[in-house]
Amino acid sequence: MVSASARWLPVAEELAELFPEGHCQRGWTVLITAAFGQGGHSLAYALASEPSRCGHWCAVVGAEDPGIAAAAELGLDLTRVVFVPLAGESLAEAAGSLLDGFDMLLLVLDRGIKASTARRLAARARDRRAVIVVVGKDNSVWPEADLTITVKDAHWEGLGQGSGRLRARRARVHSAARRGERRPSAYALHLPSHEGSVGVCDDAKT
Amino acid sequence: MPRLRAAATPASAVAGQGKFAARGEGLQRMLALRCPDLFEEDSEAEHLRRFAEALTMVRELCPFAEALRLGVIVFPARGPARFFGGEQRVLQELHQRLVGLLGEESAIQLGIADGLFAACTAAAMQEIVPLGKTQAFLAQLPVACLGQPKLSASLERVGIYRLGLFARLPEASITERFGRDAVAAHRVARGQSGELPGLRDAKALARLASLEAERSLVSHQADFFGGSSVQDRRALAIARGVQDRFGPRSLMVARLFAGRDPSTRGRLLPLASANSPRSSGEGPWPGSLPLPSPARVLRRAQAVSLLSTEGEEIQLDRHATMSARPASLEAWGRRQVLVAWSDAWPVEEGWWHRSRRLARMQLLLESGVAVLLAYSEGRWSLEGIYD
Repeated sequence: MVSASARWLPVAEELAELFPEGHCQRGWTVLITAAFGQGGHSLAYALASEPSRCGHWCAVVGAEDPGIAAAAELGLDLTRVVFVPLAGESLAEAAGSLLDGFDMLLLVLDRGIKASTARRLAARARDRRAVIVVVGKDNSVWPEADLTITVKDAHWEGLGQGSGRLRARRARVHSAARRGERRPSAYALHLPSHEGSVGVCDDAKT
Repeated sequence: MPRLRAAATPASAVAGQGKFAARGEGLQRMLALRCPDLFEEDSEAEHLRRFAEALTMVRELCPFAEALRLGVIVFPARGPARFFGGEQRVLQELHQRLVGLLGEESAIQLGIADGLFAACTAAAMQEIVPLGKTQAFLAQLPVACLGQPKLSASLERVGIYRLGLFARLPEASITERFGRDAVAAHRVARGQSGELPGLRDAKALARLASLEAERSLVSHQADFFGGSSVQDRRALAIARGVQDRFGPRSLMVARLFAGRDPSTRGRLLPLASANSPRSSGEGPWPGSLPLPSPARVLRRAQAVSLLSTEGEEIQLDRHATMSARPASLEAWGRRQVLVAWSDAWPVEEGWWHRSRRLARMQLLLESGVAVLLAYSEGRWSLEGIYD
Protein backbone atom coordinates (compact mmCIF):
# COMPACT_ATOMS: atom_id res chain seq x y z
CA MET A 1 0.00 0.00 0.00
CA VAL A 2 1.48 3.33 -1.09
CA SER A 3 0.43 6.38 0.94
CA ALA A 4 -1.46 9.15 -0.85
CA SER A 5 1.35 11.69 -0.60
CA ALA A 6 3.73 9.25 -2.23
CA ARG A 7 1.51 9.24 -5.33
CA TRP A 8 0.11 12.77 -5.47
CA LEU A 9 0.95 16.33 -4.76
CA PRO A 10 -1.96 18.35 -3.38
CA VAL A 11 -3.71 20.88 -5.61
CA ALA A 12 -5.72 23.91 -4.49
CA GLU A 13 -9.46 23.28 -4.55
CA GLU A 14 -9.98 25.90 -7.25
CA LEU A 15 -7.62 24.06 -9.58
CA ALA A 16 -8.56 20.48 -8.73
CA GLU A 17 -10.98 20.27 -11.67
CA LEU A 18 -8.07 20.57 -14.03
CA PHE A 19 -6.57 17.31 -12.83
CA PRO A 20 -7.90 13.82 -13.34
CA GLU A 21 -8.84 12.63 -9.84
CA GLY A 22 -8.28 16.12 -8.45
CA HIS A 23 -4.62 15.72 -7.53
CA CYS A 24 -1.38 16.23 -9.34
CA GLN A 25 0.18 12.86 -10.00
CA ARG A 26 3.83 12.59 -9.00
CA GLY A 27 6.14 11.94 -11.89
CA TRP A 28 4.03 14.02 -14.26
CA THR A 29 5.00 16.87 -16.48
CA VAL A 30 2.28 19.53 -16.69
CA LEU A 31 2.45 22.11 -19.45
CA ILE A 32 0.74 25.48 -18.95
CA THR A 33 0.35 27.38 -22.19
CA ALA A 34 -0.68 31.02 -22.31
CA ALA A 35 0.07 33.89 -24.65
CA PHE A 36 2.51 36.51 -23.35
CA GLY A 37 1.18 38.24 -20.26
CA GLN A 38 -2.09 36.29 -20.19
CA GLY A 39 -1.83 34.57 -16.83
CA GLY A 40 0.61 31.72 -17.34
CA HIS A 41 2.81 32.88 -14.50
CA SER A 42 -0.11 33.41 -12.15
CA LEU A 43 -1.46 29.94 -12.82
CA ALA A 44 1.96 28.37 -12.25
CA TYR A 45 2.37 30.08 -8.87
CA ALA A 46 -1.18 29.10 -7.95
CA LEU A 47 -0.39 25.48 -8.83
CA ALA A 48 2.66 25.45 -6.58
CA SER A 49 0.88 27.12 -3.68
CA GLU A 50 -0.80 24.06 -2.19
CA PRO A 51 2.28 21.82 -2.33
CA SER A 52 4.45 24.55 -0.78
CA ARG A 53 1.92 25.09 1.99
CA CYS A 54 1.89 21.39 2.72
CA GLY A 55 5.64 21.49 3.20
CA HIS A 56 6.77 20.29 -0.21
CA TRP A 57 9.84 21.88 -1.69
CA CYS A 58 9.34 23.87 -4.89
CA ALA A 59 11.79 25.54 -7.24
CA VAL A 60 11.01 28.24 -9.80
CA VAL A 61 13.55 27.75 -12.56
CA GLY A 62 14.15 30.13 -15.44
CA ALA A 63 11.98 33.07 -14.35
CA GLU A 64 14.07 36.20 -14.80
CA ASP A 65 11.58 38.54 -13.24
CA PRO A 66 9.35 36.75 -10.76
CA GLY A 67 6.77 38.87 -8.96
CA ILE A 68 7.43 37.80 -5.40
CA ALA A 69 4.50 39.69 -3.89
CA ALA A 70 2.12 38.25 -6.49
CA ALA A 71 3.42 34.73 -5.87
CA ALA A 72 2.75 35.16 -2.17
CA GLU A 73 -0.75 36.55 -2.86
CA LEU A 74 -1.43 33.50 -5.00
CA GLY A 75 -0.69 31.36 -1.98
CA LEU A 76 2.93 30.34 -2.39
CA ASP A 77 4.72 29.71 0.89
CA LEU A 78 7.96 31.57 0.19
CA THR A 79 9.84 29.67 2.85
CA ARG A 80 9.49 26.52 0.78
CA VAL A 81 10.47 27.94 -2.59
CA VAL A 82 13.79 28.68 -4.22
CA PHE A 83 14.26 30.76 -7.36
CA VAL A 84 16.82 29.70 -9.93
CA PRO A 85 17.15 32.44 -12.58
CA LEU A 86 19.22 30.48 -15.09
CA ALA A 87 18.70 30.01 -18.82
CA GLY A 88 19.67 27.64 -21.61
CA GLU A 89 22.00 24.73 -20.85
CA SER A 90 22.52 25.85 -17.25
CA LEU A 91 18.78 25.85 -16.70
CA ALA A 92 18.47 22.26 -17.86
CA GLU A 93 21.43 21.14 -15.80
CA ALA A 94 20.21 22.87 -12.64
CA ALA A 95 16.69 21.52 -13.16
CA GLY A 96 18.10 18.02 -13.43
CA SER A 97 19.86 18.39 -10.08
CA LEU A 98 16.88 19.97 -8.36
CA LEU A 99 14.62 17.07 -9.32
CA ASP A 100 16.62 14.94 -6.90
CA GLY A 101 15.27 16.73 -3.87
CA PHE A 102 12.48 19.15 -4.83
CA ASP A 103 8.90 17.94 -5.24
CA MET A 104 7.77 20.51 -7.77
CA LEU A 105 9.71 22.42 -10.38
CA LEU A 106 8.18 25.37 -12.19
CA LEU A 107 10.09 25.72 -15.44
CA VAL A 108 9.49 29.12 -16.99
CA LEU A 109 10.53 28.89 -20.62
CA ASP A 110 10.70 31.91 -22.86
CA ARG A 111 11.89 29.74 -25.67
CA GLY A 112 11.50 26.07 -26.34
CA ILE A 113 13.90 23.58 -24.93
CA LYS A 114 15.66 20.87 -26.95
CA ALA A 115 13.34 17.89 -27.28
CA SER A 116 16.05 15.51 -26.07
CA THR A 117 16.67 17.64 -22.97
CA ALA A 118 12.95 17.85 -22.26
CA ARG A 119 12.58 14.07 -22.49
CA ARG A 120 15.55 13.54 -20.20
CA LEU A 121 14.09 15.90 -17.59
CA ALA A 122 10.63 14.36 -17.87
CA ALA A 123 12.13 10.89 -17.39
CA ARG A 124 14.02 12.07 -14.37
CA ALA A 125 10.87 13.58 -12.86
CA ARG A 126 9.10 10.23 -13.32
CA ASP A 127 12.02 8.46 -11.76
CA ARG A 128 12.23 10.85 -8.78
CA ARG A 129 8.43 11.09 -8.43
CA ALA A 130 8.61 14.87 -8.72
CA VAL A 131 6.36 17.13 -10.81
CA ILE A 132 7.54 19.49 -13.52
CA VAL A 133 5.24 22.38 -14.38
CA VAL A 134 6.35 24.03 -17.61
CA VAL A 135 5.14 27.54 -18.43
CA GLY A 136 5.37 28.56 -22.06
CA LYS A 137 3.57 30.36 -24.85
CA ASP A 138 2.34 27.24 -26.67
CA ASN A 139 2.82 23.51 -27.20
CA SER A 140 6.10 24.04 -29.01
CA VAL A 141 8.07 24.76 -25.83
CA TRP A 142 7.76 21.20 -24.53
CA PRO A 143 7.35 18.05 -26.62
CA GLU A 144 5.11 15.69 -24.64
CA ALA A 145 3.40 16.70 -21.42
CA ASP A 146 1.20 14.38 -19.37
CA LEU A 147 -1.29 17.16 -18.90
CA THR A 148 -1.67 20.38 -20.87
CA ILE A 149 -3.50 23.33 -19.31
CA THR A 150 -4.32 26.19 -21.64
CA VAL A 151 -5.19 29.69 -20.45
CA LYS A 152 -7.33 31.64 -22.90
CA ASP A 153 -9.69 34.58 -23.26
CA ALA A 154 -8.13 36.45 -20.36
CA HIS A 155 -9.61 39.83 -19.63
CA TRP A 156 -9.09 42.29 -16.85
CA GLU A 157 -11.80 43.96 -14.83
CA GLY A 158 -11.71 47.21 -12.92
CA LEU A 159 -9.70 49.49 -15.15
CA GLY A 160 -11.43 52.28 -17.05
CA GLN A 161 -10.12 55.06 -19.25
CA GLY A 162 -8.28 57.18 -16.75
CA SER A 163 -10.00 55.64 -13.77
CA GLY A 164 -10.12 52.55 -11.60
CA ARG A 165 -7.46 49.96 -10.92
CA LEU A 166 -6.82 46.45 -12.17
CA ARG A 167 -9.08 44.41 -9.91
CA ALA A 168 -9.30 40.88 -11.19
CA ARG A 169 -8.74 38.89 -14.35
CA ARG A 170 -11.15 36.36 -15.75
CA ALA A 171 -9.63 33.64 -17.85
CA ARG A 172 -10.77 30.34 -19.31
CA VAL A 173 -8.67 27.35 -18.39
CA HIS A 174 -8.82 24.13 -20.31
CA SER A 175 -6.99 20.93 -19.51
CA ALA A 176 -6.36 17.79 -21.49
CA ALA A 177 -4.45 14.71 -20.42
CA ARG A 178 -2.11 13.15 -22.95
CA ARG A 179 -3.38 9.65 -22.66
CA GLY A 180 -6.97 10.75 -22.79
CA GLU A 181 -7.66 9.26 -19.38
CA ARG A 182 -10.50 11.62 -18.94
CA ARG A 183 -12.57 14.02 -20.95
CA PRO A 184 -11.09 17.49 -21.12
CA SER A 185 -12.21 20.01 -18.54
CA ALA A 186 -12.78 23.71 -19.05
CA TYR A 187 -14.00 26.49 -16.79
CA ALA A 188 -13.48 30.14 -15.92
CA LEU A 189 -11.12 31.27 -13.19
CA HIS A 190 -10.27 34.52 -11.53
CA LEU A 191 -6.57 34.56 -12.13
CA PRO A 192 -6.06 36.43 -9.90
CA SER A 193 -9.12 37.62 -7.99
CA HIS A 194 -9.26 41.10 -6.45
CA GLU A 195 -7.48 39.66 -3.41
CA GLY A 196 -4.62 38.42 -5.51
CA SER A 197 -5.54 34.77 -5.08
CA VAL A 198 -7.09 32.35 -7.53
CA GLY A 199 -10.84 31.74 -7.52
CA VAL A 200 -13.47 29.93 -9.55
CA CYS A 201 -15.88 32.31 -11.28
CA ASP A 202 -19.47 31.82 -10.13
CA ASP A 203 -20.79 31.12 -13.59
CA ALA A 204 -17.74 29.03 -14.25
CA LYS A 205 -18.91 25.70 -15.59
CA THR A 206 -19.44 25.33 -19.30
CA MET B 1 25.48 66.90 25.39
CA PRO B 2 24.31 68.34 22.12
CA ARG B 3 24.90 72.02 21.74
CA LEU B 4 21.33 73.02 21.21
CA ARG B 5 20.01 76.47 20.99
CA ALA B 6 17.30 76.65 23.61
CA ALA B 7 13.76 76.20 22.42
CA ALA B 8 11.56 79.17 23.19
CA THR B 9 9.22 77.01 25.26
CA PRO B 10 10.18 74.42 27.86
CA ALA B 11 10.40 70.89 26.55
CA SER B 12 7.43 69.66 28.56
CA ALA B 13 5.24 72.41 27.20
CA VAL B 14 6.31 71.55 23.69
CA ALA B 15 5.35 67.95 24.19
CA GLY B 16 2.01 69.03 25.61
CA GLN B 17 1.25 71.05 22.51
CA GLY B 18 1.82 68.10 20.25
CA LYS B 19 -1.83 67.33 19.71
CA PHE B 20 -2.56 70.87 18.58
CA ALA B 21 0.27 70.80 16.10
CA ALA B 22 -1.27 67.95 14.23
CA ARG B 23 -4.42 69.92 13.53
CA GLY B 24 -2.72 72.94 12.06
CA GLU B 25 -1.40 73.51 8.59
CA GLY B 26 -0.49 69.88 8.26
CA LEU B 27 3.26 69.54 7.98
CA GLN B 28 4.45 66.84 10.27
CA ARG B 29 6.78 67.60 13.14
CA MET B 30 10.02 65.98 12.08
CA LEU B 31 13.29 65.20 13.75
CA ALA B 32 16.37 65.17 11.55
CA LEU B 33 19.74 63.77 12.43
CA ARG B 34 22.93 64.46 10.49
CA CYS B 35 26.30 62.75 10.79
CA PRO B 36 28.53 64.87 8.53
CA ASP B 37 31.44 62.43 8.96
CA LEU B 38 29.39 59.82 7.10
CA PHE B 39 28.18 62.03 4.20
CA GLU B 40 30.78 60.76 1.77
CA GLU B 41 31.28 57.15 0.82
CA ASP B 42 34.72 55.69 1.32
CA SER B 43 36.28 52.95 -0.74
CA GLU B 44 35.86 50.26 1.93
CA ALA B 45 32.17 51.12 2.42
CA GLU B 46 32.98 51.63 6.09
CA HIS B 47 30.84 54.78 6.25
CA LEU B 48 27.95 52.94 4.64
CA ARG B 49 28.20 50.18 7.24
CA ARG B 50 28.46 52.57 10.17
CA PHE B 51 25.53 54.55 8.87
CA ALA B 52 23.47 51.37 8.48
CA GLU B 53 24.24 50.56 12.12
CA ALA B 54 23.18 54.04 13.16
CA LEU B 55 19.93 53.63 11.20
CA THR B 56 19.21 50.31 12.89
CA MET B 57 19.85 51.90 16.27
CA VAL B 58 17.60 54.88 15.52
CA ARG B 59 14.83 52.54 14.37
CA GLU B 60 14.86 50.96 17.80
CA LEU B 61 13.92 54.38 19.04
CA CYS B 62 11.46 55.08 16.27
CA PRO B 63 10.50 52.33 13.81
CA PHE B 64 9.51 54.94 11.22
CA ALA B 65 13.03 56.34 10.92
CA GLU B 66 14.18 56.66 7.30
CA ALA B 67 17.46 57.53 5.69
CA LEU B 68 17.33 60.46 3.25
CA ARG B 69 20.87 60.07 2.07
CA LEU B 70 24.11 58.88 3.54
CA GLY B 71 24.49 60.48 6.96
CA VAL B 72 20.94 61.87 7.24
CA ILE B 73 18.06 60.20 9.08
CA VAL B 74 14.59 61.62 9.72
CA PHE B 75 11.54 60.53 11.65
CA PRO B 76 8.29 62.01 12.97
CA ALA B 77 9.03 63.56 16.33
CA ARG B 78 5.65 63.44 18.04
CA GLY B 79 5.55 59.80 19.15
CA PRO B 80 9.06 59.68 20.57
CA ALA B 81 8.58 63.12 22.18
CA ARG B 82 5.54 61.84 24.02
CA PHE B 83 7.35 58.69 25.01
CA PHE B 84 10.47 60.37 26.36
CA GLY B 85 8.70 63.38 27.84
CA GLY B 86 9.55 66.15 25.43
CA GLU B 87 11.44 66.90 22.26
CA GLN B 88 14.56 68.01 24.09
CA ARG B 89 14.66 64.67 25.87
CA VAL B 90 14.41 62.75 22.62
CA LEU B 91 17.39 64.64 21.28
CA GLN B 92 19.36 63.99 24.45
CA GLU B 93 18.54 60.29 24.34
CA LEU B 94 19.38 60.07 20.67
CA HIS B 95 22.62 61.98 21.07
CA GLN B 96 23.73 59.74 23.91
CA ARG B 97 23.05 56.58 21.94
CA LEU B 98 24.75 57.90 18.82
CA VAL B 99 27.85 58.88 20.73
CA GLY B 100 27.89 55.38 22.17
CA LEU B 101 27.73 53.93 18.69
CA LEU B 102 29.83 56.31 16.63
CA GLY B 103 32.26 57.59 19.27
CA GLU B 104 32.82 60.89 21.11
CA GLU B 105 34.71 62.49 18.25
CA SER B 106 31.90 62.06 15.69
CA ALA B 107 29.98 65.14 14.71
CA ILE B 108 26.28 64.64 15.39
CA GLN B 109 23.73 67.30 14.47
CA LEU B 110 20.12 67.14 15.54
CA GLY B 111 17.15 69.37 14.93
CA ILE B 112 13.36 69.45 14.95
CA ALA B 113 10.93 71.51 12.88
CA ASP B 114 7.70 71.12 10.88
CA GLY B 115 8.26 69.39 7.56
CA LEU B 116 11.18 67.57 6.08
CA PHE B 117 13.13 70.47 4.61
CA ALA B 118 12.85 72.66 7.69
CA ALA B 119 13.85 69.75 9.95
CA CYS B 120 16.97 69.01 7.92
CA THR B 121 17.95 72.67 7.93
CA ALA B 122 17.24 72.91 11.66
CA ALA B 123 19.51 69.92 12.23
CA ALA B 124 22.33 71.57 10.30
CA MET B 125 21.87 74.58 12.61
CA GLN B 126 21.35 72.32 15.66
CA GLU B 127 18.10 73.91 16.56
CA ILE B 128 14.67 72.94 17.81
CA VAL B 129 12.30 75.24 15.99
CA PRO B 130 9.42 75.80 18.40
CA LEU B 131 5.95 74.75 17.41
CA GLY B 132 4.27 77.26 15.14
CA LYS B 133 7.55 79.02 14.38
CA THR B 134 8.67 77.03 11.38
CA GLN B 135 7.35 79.62 8.94
CA ALA B 136 9.38 82.33 10.63
CA PHE B 137 12.39 80.05 10.75
CA LEU B 138 12.15 79.38 7.02
CA ALA B 139 11.59 83.05 6.18
CA GLN B 140 15.01 84.12 7.46
CA LEU B 141 16.93 81.42 5.59
CA PRO B 142 19.03 82.48 2.61
CA VAL B 143 17.69 81.17 -0.71
CA ALA B 144 20.95 79.24 -1.16
CA CYS B 145 19.63 76.84 1.52
CA LEU B 146 17.35 75.35 -1.13
CA GLY B 147 20.41 73.70 -2.62
CA GLN B 148 19.44 74.79 -6.14
CA PRO B 149 22.22 77.09 -7.30
CA LYS B 150 20.53 78.15 -10.55
CA LEU B 151 17.30 79.05 -8.83
CA SER B 152 18.99 80.94 -6.01
CA ALA B 153 21.10 82.85 -8.54
CA SER B 154 17.96 83.92 -10.42
CA LEU B 155 16.25 84.90 -7.18
CA GLU B 156 19.21 86.91 -5.99
CA ARG B 157 19.37 88.72 -9.32
CA VAL B 158 15.93 90.15 -8.62
CA GLY B 159 16.80 91.01 -5.02
CA ILE B 160 15.25 87.99 -3.32
CA TYR B 161 17.81 86.82 -0.79
CA ARG B 162 15.61 85.16 1.82
CA LEU B 163 12.96 82.45 1.62
CA GLY B 164 10.47 84.79 3.27
CA LEU B 165 10.45 87.12 0.30
CA PHE B 166 10.40 84.21 -2.13
CA ALA B 167 7.37 82.80 -0.29
CA ARG B 168 5.47 86.06 -0.82
CA LEU B 169 5.67 85.82 -4.61
CA PRO B 170 2.32 84.78 -6.07
CA GLU B 171 2.24 81.08 -6.85
CA ALA B 172 0.89 81.64 -10.35
CA SER B 173 3.94 83.59 -11.44
CA ILE B 174 6.56 81.08 -10.28
CA THR B 175 6.67 78.72 -13.24
CA GLU B 176 6.72 81.57 -15.70
CA ARG B 177 9.45 83.50 -13.95
CA PHE B 178 11.70 80.75 -12.61
CA GLY B 179 10.74 77.55 -14.40
CA ARG B 180 8.77 74.49 -13.36
CA ASP B 181 11.46 73.28 -10.99
CA ALA B 182 10.98 76.35 -8.83
CA VAL B 183 7.42 75.34 -7.91
CA ALA B 184 8.52 72.71 -5.39
CA ALA B 185 10.97 75.15 -3.82
CA HIS B 186 8.24 77.78 -3.60
CA ARG B 187 5.91 75.38 -1.85
CA VAL B 188 8.67 74.58 0.62
CA ALA B 189 9.34 78.28 1.22
CA ARG B 190 5.64 78.80 1.91
CA GLY B 191 5.60 75.94 4.37
CA GLN B 192 3.17 73.90 2.29
CA SER B 193 5.51 71.02 1.59
CA GLY B 194 8.64 69.58 3.06
CA GLU B 195 9.71 67.70 -0.02
CA LEU B 196 12.39 69.15 -2.21
CA PRO B 197 14.17 67.42 -5.09
CA GLY B 198 17.70 66.77 -3.98
CA LEU B 199 16.87 66.06 -0.34
CA ARG B 200 17.07 62.37 -1.07
CA ASP B 201 19.94 60.55 -2.69
CA ALA B 202 18.37 57.58 -4.44
CA LYS B 203 21.66 55.98 -5.40
CA ALA B 204 23.07 56.01 -1.89
CA LEU B 205 19.75 54.69 -0.57
CA ALA B 206 19.86 51.83 -3.05
CA ARG B 207 23.32 50.86 -1.82
CA LEU B 208 22.08 51.10 1.74
CA ALA B 209 19.09 48.91 0.92
CA SER B 210 21.28 46.24 -0.62
CA LEU B 211 23.53 46.31 2.43
CA GLU B 212 20.47 45.93 4.67
CA ALA B 213 19.23 43.06 2.52
CA GLU B 214 22.56 41.35 2.94
CA ARG B 215 22.42 41.77 6.68
CA SER B 216 18.85 40.54 6.90
CA LEU B 217 19.84 37.52 4.90
CA VAL B 218 21.56 35.94 7.83
CA SER B 219 18.36 36.05 9.83
CA HIS B 220 16.37 35.09 6.78
CA GLN B 221 17.80 31.68 6.08
CA ALA B 222 16.37 31.16 9.21
CA ASP B 223 12.85 30.72 8.05
CA PHE B 224 14.36 28.86 5.31
CA PHE B 225 15.35 25.26 5.49
CA GLY B 226 14.47 25.71 9.12
CA GLY B 227 13.04 22.23 9.26
CA SER B 228 15.22 19.27 9.83
CA SER B 229 13.45 16.39 8.17
CA VAL B 230 15.34 14.20 5.74
CA GLN B 231 13.61 16.01 2.85
CA ASP B 232 14.61 19.42 4.20
CA ARG B 233 18.24 18.47 4.55
CA ARG B 234 18.23 16.92 1.12
CA ALA B 235 16.68 20.01 -0.50
CA LEU B 236 19.22 22.23 1.22
CA ALA B 237 22.12 20.08 0.07
CA ILE B 238 20.90 20.17 -3.54
CA ALA B 239 20.30 23.91 -3.40
CA ARG B 240 23.84 24.45 -2.17
CA GLY B 241 25.11 22.17 -4.91
CA VAL B 242 23.41 24.32 -7.57
CA GLN B 243 24.91 27.41 -5.99
CA ASP B 244 28.39 25.88 -5.96
CA ARG B 245 28.05 25.00 -9.61
CA PHE B 246 26.43 28.17 -10.98
CA GLY B 247 27.35 30.89 -8.49
CA PRO B 248 25.69 32.47 -5.44
CA ARG B 249 23.02 34.33 -7.44
CA SER B 250 21.87 31.19 -9.22
CA LEU B 251 19.91 30.07 -6.20
CA MET B 252 17.82 32.68 -4.51
CA VAL B 253 15.27 32.74 -1.76
CA ALA B 254 12.45 35.26 -1.68
CA ARG B 255 11.38 37.53 1.07
CA LEU B 256 8.67 40.13 1.47
CA PHE B 257 9.68 43.44 2.93
CA ALA B 258 7.57 46.34 4.04
CA GLY B 259 7.39 48.80 1.20
CA ARG B 260 5.28 50.34 -1.49
CA ASP B 261 7.42 49.46 -4.39
CA PRO B 262 6.90 46.12 -6.16
CA SER B 263 10.62 45.69 -6.71
CA THR B 264 11.62 46.38 -3.13
CA ARG B 265 8.61 44.70 -1.55
CA GLY B 266 9.50 41.28 -2.84
CA ARG B 267 13.20 40.66 -3.00
CA LEU B 268 15.37 37.76 -4.03
CA LEU B 269 18.42 37.08 -1.92
CA PRO B 270 21.10 34.51 -2.55
CA LEU B 271 20.83 31.53 -0.28
CA ALA B 272 23.78 31.65 2.08
CA SER B 273 25.05 29.16 4.56
CA ALA B 274 23.57 30.19 7.91
CA ASN B 275 20.68 28.14 9.12
CA SER B 276 18.58 28.54 12.23
CA PRO B 277 14.80 28.65 12.71
CA ARG B 278 12.98 31.94 12.86
CA SER B 279 9.47 32.92 11.89
CA SER B 280 8.81 35.12 8.92
CA GLY B 281 5.92 37.43 8.30
CA GLU B 282 5.43 40.99 7.20
CA GLY B 283 2.19 42.84 7.39
CA PRO B 284 0.78 44.84 4.52
CA TRP B 285 2.25 48.29 4.12
CA PRO B 286 -0.18 51.20 4.09
CA GLY B 287 -0.33 52.86 0.70
CA SER B 288 1.35 50.00 -1.05
CA LEU B 289 0.45 49.03 -4.57
CA PRO B 290 -3.14 47.87 -4.83
CA LEU B 291 -3.78 44.13 -5.08
CA PRO B 292 -3.28 42.11 -7.14
CA SER B 293 0.45 42.55 -7.57
CA PRO B 294 2.16 42.04 -10.93
CA ALA B 295 3.27 38.42 -11.43
CA ARG B 296 6.39 39.62 -13.20
CA VAL B 297 8.51 42.42 -11.77
CA LEU B 298 11.33 43.55 -14.00
CA ARG B 299 14.71 43.47 -12.30
CA ARG B 300 15.92 46.18 -14.61
CA ALA B 301 13.29 48.72 -15.49
CA GLN B 302 12.77 48.87 -19.24
CA ALA B 303 12.37 52.28 -20.88
CA VAL B 304 9.06 52.68 -22.73
CA SER B 305 7.13 55.55 -24.32
CA LEU B 306 3.61 56.48 -23.35
CA LEU B 307 2.10 58.45 -26.21
CA SER B 308 -0.90 60.65 -26.83
CA THR B 309 -3.18 60.35 -29.87
CA GLU B 310 -0.87 62.79 -31.61
CA GLY B 311 2.10 60.54 -30.86
CA GLU B 312 3.58 62.89 -28.30
CA GLU B 313 5.18 61.61 -25.14
CA ILE B 314 2.94 62.04 -22.09
CA GLN B 315 4.49 64.08 -19.29
CA LEU B 316 3.35 64.43 -15.70
CA ASP B 317 3.39 67.63 -13.73
CA ARG B 318 4.15 67.81 -10.04
CA HIS B 319 0.64 66.79 -9.15
CA ALA B 320 0.93 63.77 -11.41
CA THR B 321 -1.54 65.21 -13.90
CA MET B 322 -1.01 63.98 -17.42
CA SER B 323 -0.13 66.41 -20.20
CA ALA B 324 -2.57 64.69 -22.58
CA ARG B 325 -4.88 61.72 -22.85
CA PRO B 326 -2.74 58.58 -23.29
CA ALA B 327 -3.44 56.51 -26.39
CA SER B 328 -0.64 54.04 -26.97
CA LEU B 329 2.44 52.44 -25.49
CA GLU B 330 5.69 51.80 -27.27
CA ALA B 331 7.37 48.77 -25.75
CA TRP B 332 9.04 45.59 -26.95
CA GLY B 333 9.79 47.36 -30.20
CA ARG B 334 6.20 48.03 -31.22
CA ARG B 335 3.38 50.39 -30.55
CA GLN B 336 0.20 49.10 -28.91
CA VAL B 337 -3.11 50.86 -28.46
CA LEU B 338 -4.36 51.30 -24.90
CA VAL B 339 -7.74 49.85 -24.01
CA ALA B 340 -7.79 51.21 -20.48
CA TRP B 341 -5.54 53.04 -18.05
CA SER B 342 -5.56 54.23 -14.48
CA ASP B 343 -4.81 57.77 -13.44
CA ALA B 344 -1.18 58.32 -12.55
CA TRP B 345 -0.87 58.10 -8.80
CA PRO B 346 1.97 59.96 -7.14
CA VAL B 347 4.16 57.98 -4.84
CA GLU B 348 6.59 60.70 -3.95
CA GLU B 349 4.32 62.36 -1.44
CA GLY B 350 5.07 61.31 2.07
CA TRP B 351 8.48 61.83 3.55
CA TRP B 352 9.01 58.15 4.18
CA HIS B 353 9.39 57.18 0.59
CA ARG B 354 12.93 56.12 -0.24
CA SER B 355 13.07 56.50 -3.94
CA ARG B 356 12.50 59.60 -5.98
CA ARG B 357 10.09 57.85 -8.25
CA LEU B 358 7.25 60.17 -8.97
CA ALA B 359 4.24 58.23 -10.09
CA ARG B 360 2.85 54.88 -11.16
CA MET B 361 0.18 53.91 -13.61
CA GLN B 362 -1.57 50.75 -14.77
CA LEU B 363 -2.29 50.16 -18.45
CA LEU B 364 -4.29 47.58 -20.32
CA LEU B 365 -3.06 47.03 -23.86
CA GLU B 366 -5.11 45.90 -26.82
CA SER B 367 -3.34 42.54 -26.68
CA GLY B 368 -5.00 42.00 -23.29
CA VAL B 369 -1.71 42.42 -21.45
CA ALA B 370 -1.80 44.60 -18.34
CA VAL B 371 1.36 46.38 -17.25
CA LEU B 372 2.61 48.63 -14.49
CA LEU B 373 4.54 51.75 -15.49
CA ALA B 374 6.67 54.01 -13.37
CA TYR B 375 7.32 57.66 -14.15
CA SER B 376 10.50 59.16 -12.85
CA GLU B 377 12.47 62.21 -13.84
CA GLY B 378 10.48 62.75 -17.00
CA ARG B 379 10.69 59.19 -18.27
CA TRP B 380 8.40 56.18 -18.31
CA SER B 381 9.60 52.70 -17.60
CA LEU B 382 8.00 49.30 -17.51
CA GLU B 383 8.08 47.97 -13.98
CA GLY B 384 5.83 44.96 -13.99
CA ILE B 385 3.63 42.71 -16.09
CA TYR B 386 0.40 41.31 -14.72
CA ASP B 387 1.12 37.92 -16.21
